[in-house]
Amino acid sequence: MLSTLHHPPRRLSRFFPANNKPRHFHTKPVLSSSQPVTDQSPSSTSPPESQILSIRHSLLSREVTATQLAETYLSRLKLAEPQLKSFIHVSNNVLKEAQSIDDKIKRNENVGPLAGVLVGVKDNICTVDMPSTAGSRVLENYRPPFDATAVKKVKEFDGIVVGKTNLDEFGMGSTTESSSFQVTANPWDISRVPGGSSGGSAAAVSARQCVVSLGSDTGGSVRQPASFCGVVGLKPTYGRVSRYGLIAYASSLDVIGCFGSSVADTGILLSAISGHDRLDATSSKQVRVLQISVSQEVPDFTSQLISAALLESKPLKGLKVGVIRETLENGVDSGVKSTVLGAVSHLEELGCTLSEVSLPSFSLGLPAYYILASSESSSNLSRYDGVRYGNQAAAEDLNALYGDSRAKGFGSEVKMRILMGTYALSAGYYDAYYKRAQQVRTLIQKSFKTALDENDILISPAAPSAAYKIGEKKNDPLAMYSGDIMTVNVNLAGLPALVLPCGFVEGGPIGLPVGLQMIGAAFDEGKLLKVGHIFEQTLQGCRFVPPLIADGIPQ
Amino acid sequence: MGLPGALPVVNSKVVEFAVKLGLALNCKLSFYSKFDRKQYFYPDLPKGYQISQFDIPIATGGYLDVDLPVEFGGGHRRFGITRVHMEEDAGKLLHADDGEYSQEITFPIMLHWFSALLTLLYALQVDLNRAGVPLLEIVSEPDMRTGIEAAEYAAELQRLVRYLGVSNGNMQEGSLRCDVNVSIRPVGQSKFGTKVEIKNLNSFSSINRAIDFEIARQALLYSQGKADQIVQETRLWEEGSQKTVTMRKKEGLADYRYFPEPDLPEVILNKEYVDSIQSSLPELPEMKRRRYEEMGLSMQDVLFLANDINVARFFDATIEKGADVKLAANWIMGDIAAYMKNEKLTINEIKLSAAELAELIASIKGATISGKIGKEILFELMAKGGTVKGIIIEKDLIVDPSEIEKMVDKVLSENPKQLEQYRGGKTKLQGNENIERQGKSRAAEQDPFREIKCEKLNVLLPPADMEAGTPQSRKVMVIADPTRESAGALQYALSHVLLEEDELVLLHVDTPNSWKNPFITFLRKPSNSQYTTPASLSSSSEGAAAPGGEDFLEEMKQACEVAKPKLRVHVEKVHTESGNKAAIILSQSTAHGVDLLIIGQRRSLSNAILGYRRAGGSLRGSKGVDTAEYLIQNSKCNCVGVQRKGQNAGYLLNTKTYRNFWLLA
Repeated sequence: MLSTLHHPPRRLSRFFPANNKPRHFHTKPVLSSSQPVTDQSPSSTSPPESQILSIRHSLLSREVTATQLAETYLSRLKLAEPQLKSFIHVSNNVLKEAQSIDDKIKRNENVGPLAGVLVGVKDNICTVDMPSTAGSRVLENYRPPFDATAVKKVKEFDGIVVGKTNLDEFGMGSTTESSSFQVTANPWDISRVPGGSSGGSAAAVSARQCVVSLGSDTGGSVRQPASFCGVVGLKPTYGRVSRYGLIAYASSLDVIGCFGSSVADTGILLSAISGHDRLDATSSKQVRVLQISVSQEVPDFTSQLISAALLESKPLKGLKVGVIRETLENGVDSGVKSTVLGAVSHLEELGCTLSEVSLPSFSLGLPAYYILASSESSSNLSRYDGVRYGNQAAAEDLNALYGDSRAKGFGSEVKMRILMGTYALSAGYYDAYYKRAQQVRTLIQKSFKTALDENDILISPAAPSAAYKIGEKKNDPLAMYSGDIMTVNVNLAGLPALVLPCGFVEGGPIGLPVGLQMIGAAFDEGKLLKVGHIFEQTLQGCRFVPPLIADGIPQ
Repeated sequence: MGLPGALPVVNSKVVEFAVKLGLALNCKLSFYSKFDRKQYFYPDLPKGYQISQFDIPIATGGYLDVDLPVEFGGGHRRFGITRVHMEEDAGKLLHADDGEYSQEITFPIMLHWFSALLTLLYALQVDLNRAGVPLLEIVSEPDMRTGIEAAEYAAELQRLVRYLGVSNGNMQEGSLRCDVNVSIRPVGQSKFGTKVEIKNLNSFSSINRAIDFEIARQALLYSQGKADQIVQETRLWEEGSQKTVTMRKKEGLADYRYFPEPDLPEVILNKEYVDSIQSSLPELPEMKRRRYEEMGLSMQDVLFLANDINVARFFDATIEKGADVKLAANWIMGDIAAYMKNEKLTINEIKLSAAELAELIASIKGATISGKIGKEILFELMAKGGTVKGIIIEKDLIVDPSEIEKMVDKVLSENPKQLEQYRGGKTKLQGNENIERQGKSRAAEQDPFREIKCEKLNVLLPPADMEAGTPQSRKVMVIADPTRESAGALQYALSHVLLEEDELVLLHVDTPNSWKNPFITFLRKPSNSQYTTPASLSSSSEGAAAPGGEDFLEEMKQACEVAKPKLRVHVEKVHTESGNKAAIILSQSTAHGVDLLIIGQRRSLSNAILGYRRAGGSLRGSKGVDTAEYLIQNSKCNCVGVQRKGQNAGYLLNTKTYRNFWLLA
């Protein structure tokens, strides 16, 4: 079974331009959960380290103030923004909030774990003091009266919401091109899409416009842009993070996810926002007790992360990794395939036991996903009638008001999905579409369960290709939809998945990043983060800093 | 409001209430049920869908037992329950009349919603305060055949939810709402006809009347060969015109595009939870009624006592303290109920405790105090509280029986004439009152006085049939006149009210002017020819044609003998010059100790059914209506106004609590 995986090609260095030739460092800076790290000698090729932990250390050791940090990020944000357009709205209160953290530190008060950390928030996540448009004209200038639970938690932990990031309208898209307001560019090549729908959040983290960001993942909207932008993206288990305040696209699939430039940051952000919420009936009370975490509480995912310095020769010895065969078959870009196979052999070097796993229902996931997601969205979006909030068309009577507000408010992609979903739910078609899609969903859940009973994690590419050109797939929705093939099954099964950059393919000025997807059992994010961290810390010869800001970035 | 990002959460209370109600309605519970979204676009629905339960409701397949009130023929009915499910309420559309807005904006967040609509729709507002509030929907089987049955079913549901503490069941506030579906079919056909939904039913009486109107409307179309004009539609009950009017016609079935609600998890019940609710259920109205019935109370008493859970609790507590069942029922239904009504208080608000009522009853029974003094004490207790013993001592109300005996002897000896009359068998004659009135001393008001008096009278001259009768028999009085209305009243009494062991008093009040008014001419109209059955009744009304002739009384009596041979029938004639017929009837009914008073009521079919507004005195013959209305409102016993509707169309009944109930023949 393993024969197909033996000795995959590892000719990655050819993708690296000479001026950015990576140097190998075998001794890595210490990353510890209990104590912030001191990064004495940053190196351009050192593995990614936790920005959150280093910020914390710098602040507490009074090396730098939160205000200084915020100013640095804001100036970089403003510098990159004309090209990237990753933000729909930038907060006016960043410096004020940074100042209050500095005041706290000055008074020797305790500060939260996200103190001074600038967090980008996808614009379909409600924030009380900023617009929340979900990228749609229908909600232009809409300011919610409440914070989403995830945002509330970020603020409680002293994180600073830097702004609202761009997205495909209501999360419907894979390129961020269907935003009603702007098209976001990929920091690795500004002629390319950042992926979507959380393209703004991914691009912002990639371009270091913020430290970490929140996105949402309905069918891959965190993982695919993470892959396109070369950042770490985590889609948690359905129910791990409260959806309260997430503007719904497809309620049974939507989850709020995290972006970071390292696995550690992603894990810290997840720790901050997870947990049961009485305002979301589908948020889980279940706590998978991990080896180190305290029971009764959401596990502290970062405690699972092992310092790179402690890496032995085979730190993942005995970990059973299943490679999903269907994800490396036809339709996958050959460069992506070889990069992922390279990552597979890296895992093998780390001691993992590899096997090939077949999920026969895998290809059924895509049509099932589009039927279920469209059906739910047709229902979820019926509240946007222009009456109580949002943009309202001038009209003579109520029906015209409804019709015109929706006709003018929604973009074409959204309209198409509402039509598809309404059709699929209609009497006479329900059994043929919605019901069958639900049956497929059950099959997929079962096949994942079986595969994960036999393996600790499953791996696949995060997307069948690297970032493509802006406009390339705009008029071919089926091509764009098929790009979600790697990710939608995970949403249908409700499982957690981590995407992290594992290499490059040719394209753009210095190559384009490729993401590796690791899928875990429900509520097993801890294991994914641990494996991801070790993988990231031991991956050699790759530095995932985009050329846009490659010079002068403080590591 | 359906704000972006907001999520629904199930109120655990609604699940508890649904389980309670499901169990109380003898339903099968779904241990696994789920919520679904029902999609439709309407201004009262801010999210564009309603969270409901579609294919797996929490409870299915139960039934509800109802005892119909005696005045509507009585009887026990069982109505099937199809399902009970949980859902969220929609907003409330306020249709303002004449373009005026009701200013009931109470929720600041909604101002935006209102202002948006105000600029657009000049007669429509939406109150979203109740949108999203959980509610339970109960769907019954099509088991009701008349408006009364449906109204009584609804009333029983109200009692049930009040007993269970699930809702206050207030229809005016919208805590209990009712939509009905009406269809008719020819006798013998098993398939139901086209159903018509009726909305805007705000009271039990409008449920009853709307259904009966709708039956009549559909039956008329049917009989005219226009059955195809009965279409599936939603009609609105208009209280003003007493009609149903088309609200919206349904073109085929609405497609609600149901699908499972992804924002809410399934509702999973476990056996322990259900068992704990089952064991916490209170005694339900039906169980209470059966228990009261077994205690020997009449159905009338049973229905009254079990109607309100607080009254029932009070009654239960009273008899628990050892009070006589029948006496306790009488006190509660009589003076206490009257007091509560006058003072607009509930039984929990009056200061009288069940223990004190029991004490009071015991004191009267034990002859410590008289009934009359007891009444005084009762009002004192209801208004101010305190104890029976305390009040007796405070007011020095106990007297020496031997003193009273002397007094009775004295009165008797001073009133030989009355004594003579009493000897003649007039046990209820006014003389008794005279005797009492003459003994106006403090002691004379005491009940022991009456007892001693009666004792003396009985020993000396036992009258023929004093206070005879089995406990279960009732005394019914029908007001007899030579009119169609009166004949109808008697017919109703014979067919729906009287049992063989009952006693009937036919009371005729002869007022001088009553024979000179248009009633007489009316009677001579050919419309009388519709009286065909029973034969004796029709002849009785014909025979009454002669002014002052009282042959009709004999005819009526004969009709009774034909219909119910064992029935005891008395004829009572009272002549009055004053013309105050109603007052005479009242005093006569009291004097006879009548349980139920029945009087013919005059109003034409067209008035009641076709929706002419009741125009009070402007109606011809309103005097007849007034007498009946007056009696219905003021009679101490239950009074039923009867109006026969055509040959086989049953009766339209009025009582103090029910208006225009159409009892089908």
